[in-house]
Amino acid sequence: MLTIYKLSLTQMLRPKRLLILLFIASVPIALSVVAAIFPPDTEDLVSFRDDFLMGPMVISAVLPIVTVVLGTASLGHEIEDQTMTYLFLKPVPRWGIILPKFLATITVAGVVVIGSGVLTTVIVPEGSVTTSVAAAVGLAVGVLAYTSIFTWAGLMTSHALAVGLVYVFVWEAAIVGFLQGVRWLSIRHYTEATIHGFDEIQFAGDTATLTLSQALAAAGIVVALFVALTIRRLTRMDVA
Amino acid sequence: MTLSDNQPVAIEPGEEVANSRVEPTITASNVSKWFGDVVSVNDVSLEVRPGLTGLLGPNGAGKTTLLRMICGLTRPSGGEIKVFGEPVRNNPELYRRIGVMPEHQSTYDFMTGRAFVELNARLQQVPDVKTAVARSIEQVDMQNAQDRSIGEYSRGMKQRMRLAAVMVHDPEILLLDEPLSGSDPRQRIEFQELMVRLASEGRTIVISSHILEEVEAVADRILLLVYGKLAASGDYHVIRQKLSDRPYIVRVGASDVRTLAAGLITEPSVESISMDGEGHIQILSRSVRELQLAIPKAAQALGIRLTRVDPLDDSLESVFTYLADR
Repeated sequence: MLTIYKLSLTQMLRPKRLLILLFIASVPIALSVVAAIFPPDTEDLVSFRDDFLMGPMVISAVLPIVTVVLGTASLGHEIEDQTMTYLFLKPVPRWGIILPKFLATITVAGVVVIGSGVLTTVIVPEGSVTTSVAAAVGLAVGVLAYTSIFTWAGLMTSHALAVGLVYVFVWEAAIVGFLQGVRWLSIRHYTEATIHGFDEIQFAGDTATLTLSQALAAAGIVVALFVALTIRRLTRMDVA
Repeated sequence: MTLSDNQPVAIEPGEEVANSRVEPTITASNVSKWFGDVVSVNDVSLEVRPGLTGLLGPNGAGKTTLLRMICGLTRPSGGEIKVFGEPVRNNPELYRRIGVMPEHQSTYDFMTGRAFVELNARLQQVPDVKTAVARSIEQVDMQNAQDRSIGEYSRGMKQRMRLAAVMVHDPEILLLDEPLSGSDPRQRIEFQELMVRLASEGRTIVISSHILEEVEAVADRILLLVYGKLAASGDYHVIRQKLSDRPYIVRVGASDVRTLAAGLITEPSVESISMDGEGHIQILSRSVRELQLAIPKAAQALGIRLTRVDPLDDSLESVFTYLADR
């Protein structure tokens, strides 16, 4: 499994794709530097961090974009370019292929997304250790849940990237934004509720429908369900 | 020799007596595969024993699909395939004993050739990776290019390094789909020698190809697939002999084709002569050797200069078309 994990890391750390993702992840960090140099009032600063940097940028943009790009590619690209046959034709069970690939995706996505979120909370004044820890845990939950969904999507369709972006920007950003009752089906809200659970100041007005335990349980179900679906799919599918 | 549904060309009794004593390593029983309405492999039953077997057929005959089913990448729509007596699908432990080189050329192009072979060795859990990798790369004569990125390789080099990766765990069965694609004549000869040597060590090797000449030099047995059906199986030379009464068409260009045609039509080896639209004659014959002598003899006697003599249908496809039409 370590061999496949290392192979997957190498595949994901291709310079071009990684540079684009790092650029996206660096935008909130750059803005937090600006906020640190030209600080507004304290109250505005917290609002700027939560309602502009962490909410719309890190959680709603950086997190899903990074995970959709890496998650859909982790298995999908190898099936598309047929290199997956080299793994399938080895004495390795299918779950033994999926697990290291999933872990490698989480590793890269986690470093990029959590790094972006934590640095943002550290740089913006008025932050604390609790703020940063909450952001790290919440974003880790988001990375796990999104990656499991998008890895599965990468197996199901060759248009997984488009499907993933529609899910993020139509379902989560638009529909769930208006229909509070379907927050149960939004990874973004699991992430925000987890951050709020660890640091009550963050997203105080936004997470009324989900408690920390509910958010963690829901995210856990999503991860278990989609990892199981991915293993099932990979076990049954024909490979060219 | 006849070709009817599910009745491949039979080999003569006793032709494979020695080989048939050995247990088959691969068996397929009434295997079919269809994709929607398209039948790719149709009710194929076969046994493959140690030695070198050529899986022949024109493009689209179902060779790749059959190989994919044998190695477990594709699930048969019907029938059963066993390798070493076990079902191969979802049985990854069997891959310790099987090496498969798929038809596609994809590799991890960012790796060096050696790193690619090493990856395969590690995935196969080979005990001594370093030795196995060096041995395998040496077998395909790629030592000089092993530290170059695969992305820089020619098609032939890539094929050889893929073959090294397939052989790195010293498998008992090798399934090679169009392995000679992109190889030059010298590499072909080396490949054929390597395969003969590996087969002589008791391995089962199946090589698919749509080019008869690629396989005829090395294969003990052939399996002929046409339109997804097993059209013939058995000793290559026996089948080749049975095809000897197949009519051949030869195109001849000459300074005066009409006079040449008139001179040749009385030859016993000539069945018919027609003109094509380009000023050549096409001669149908069932006795090519006699025709080869008759054409220059007639041309010399008539004072005609020959400009070209081309066999038109000596391809495997024409062999199959002939088999299928009979």
